[in-house]
Amino acid sequence: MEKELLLQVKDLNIEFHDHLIPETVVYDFDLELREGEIVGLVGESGSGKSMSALAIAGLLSRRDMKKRGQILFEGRDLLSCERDVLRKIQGNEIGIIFQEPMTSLNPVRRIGWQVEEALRIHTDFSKEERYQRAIEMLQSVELEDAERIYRQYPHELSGGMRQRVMIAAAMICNPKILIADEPTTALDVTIQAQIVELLKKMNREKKTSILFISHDLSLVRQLCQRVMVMQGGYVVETGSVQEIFDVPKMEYTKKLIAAIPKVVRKSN
Amino acid sequence: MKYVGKKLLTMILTLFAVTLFVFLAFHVISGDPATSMLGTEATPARISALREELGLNDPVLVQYGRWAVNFLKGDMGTSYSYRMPVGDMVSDKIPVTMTLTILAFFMMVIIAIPLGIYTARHAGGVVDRTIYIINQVIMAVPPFFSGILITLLFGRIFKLFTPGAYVSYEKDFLGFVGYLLFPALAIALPKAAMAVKLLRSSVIGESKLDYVRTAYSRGNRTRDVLYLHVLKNALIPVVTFLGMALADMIAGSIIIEQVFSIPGLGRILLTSISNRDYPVVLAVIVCIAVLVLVVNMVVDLIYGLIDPRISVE
Repeated sequence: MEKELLLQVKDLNIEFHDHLIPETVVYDFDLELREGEIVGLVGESGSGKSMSALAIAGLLSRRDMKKRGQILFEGRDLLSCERDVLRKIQGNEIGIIFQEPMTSLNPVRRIGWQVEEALRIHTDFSKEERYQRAIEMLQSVELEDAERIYRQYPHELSGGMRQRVMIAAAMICNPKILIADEPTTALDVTIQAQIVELLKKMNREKKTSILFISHDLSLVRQLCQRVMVMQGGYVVETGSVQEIFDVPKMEYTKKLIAAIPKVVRKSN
Repeated sequence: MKYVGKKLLTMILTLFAVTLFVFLAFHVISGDPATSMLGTEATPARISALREELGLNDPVLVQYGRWAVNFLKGDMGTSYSYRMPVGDMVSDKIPVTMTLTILAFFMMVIIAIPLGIYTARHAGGVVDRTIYIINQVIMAVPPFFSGILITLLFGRIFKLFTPGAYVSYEKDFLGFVGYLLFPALAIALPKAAMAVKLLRSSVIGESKLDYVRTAYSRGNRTRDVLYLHVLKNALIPVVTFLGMALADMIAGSIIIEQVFSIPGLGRILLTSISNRDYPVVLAVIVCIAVLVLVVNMVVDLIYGLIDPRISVE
């Protein structure tokens, strides 16, 4: 049975305009994300996967980037809507976490302040309610001693803890979609697995749909139901995890799969 | 508490180093207090008698030790030229220079912060480019010259104040502050120009960092990203600069006090140096050094408040 369609991207093209010669980085990108689904977006650096993700989150500068196509979220086109409409969706309906947990948090603001921020922007919660929610969120991302972390600053936490904080902050308004842009790339292997588990838990408990961007196919295989492979700005292959891993059609996909270290494949 | 104690100790050591340095400097420069007190016509016998009386024939370190012990007892000595206690001479000059410096500091902040933010937000625009040119000019003009220009413009043309008609703070405090506004502006302008440039580039630099993208991803307005996220980070280097500028202003007011005929520490310092009136010079230097050290300590404390990565301990 088909779940409700949440996000539909049609013919997204992204062009850079900050150089003399405009440069296209994403061509005819299509994506469908259904309720509760986890879709993986894989490809090497520069393949356009992060650009597509940032475009969906509404984070590409409107001045330097020219975008064509449609990004339909619950019927509204995020590319052509008013900034105020987009802002009401950002952080509220669509959350995003990034590759660099070390620099993605504001160094001079307390963790609690940053985790609560989306609530402050999108809800009328009182200070006390926000505090309660923030503590719950910090606990649900499996951070010990949430009350203490609430009062700490980013530099006092490790990379893995900061990525958990980022997830807590992105999830606090219970967004329908979480975009995870290479969330594990900057972390140790053991921490990577924990973060992937955490994303699974968020998906299971809160029914959040996840767009998981990574160049690590073994993580994608653990987490995702469907996979899209990007190369040079094009989506070259789309399919379920089984299809992609068992019968890859494109030469490029085969190479990516071959690049997974053997030890990992055996253990799977 | 431990921090404050440590800072106080450093302050005292710095004061001793500064005063010792000044003492040694007196013995290197030419000129003799006894001669300048008695005039060039005085007989060598009288001069050497006076030198003996003032203790100028003792070794330098003995003289310094005597001065330091008296200073610790609260006695800063007697002025050679005015024959009156140095404490009395200096104490009523301190409020003048402090008011001038504080006014200049607030002017710098009031000019620099809004302009820095504005030019960063509208970087490349007409206002930004105009301010850039004005800044370059102001930074190139030394305060004494801008002081003369301000006298000409506000004193002679607009007649907002009467140049040279200093109002004593004991008689008319508002009139006193009103008069000091113009010299304060002369001191504040070049520093404000630098602070505008620094804040502008700091805001622009911070705006490119990852946490700003995170802030936008939560649905923040551009204004809120600037005021709630970027500004506090961007102010860190600016606070350092403002602190250095304030210390510099205390010293810089010496020249401006000459231009605007203000009887502050700067004027008394220059007169007493040319009279070789060492006790007065030392007292003024101690005052200026204490002010600068206190300012530095306050800046360190503020720094710790806005940047959690810096622990004051």
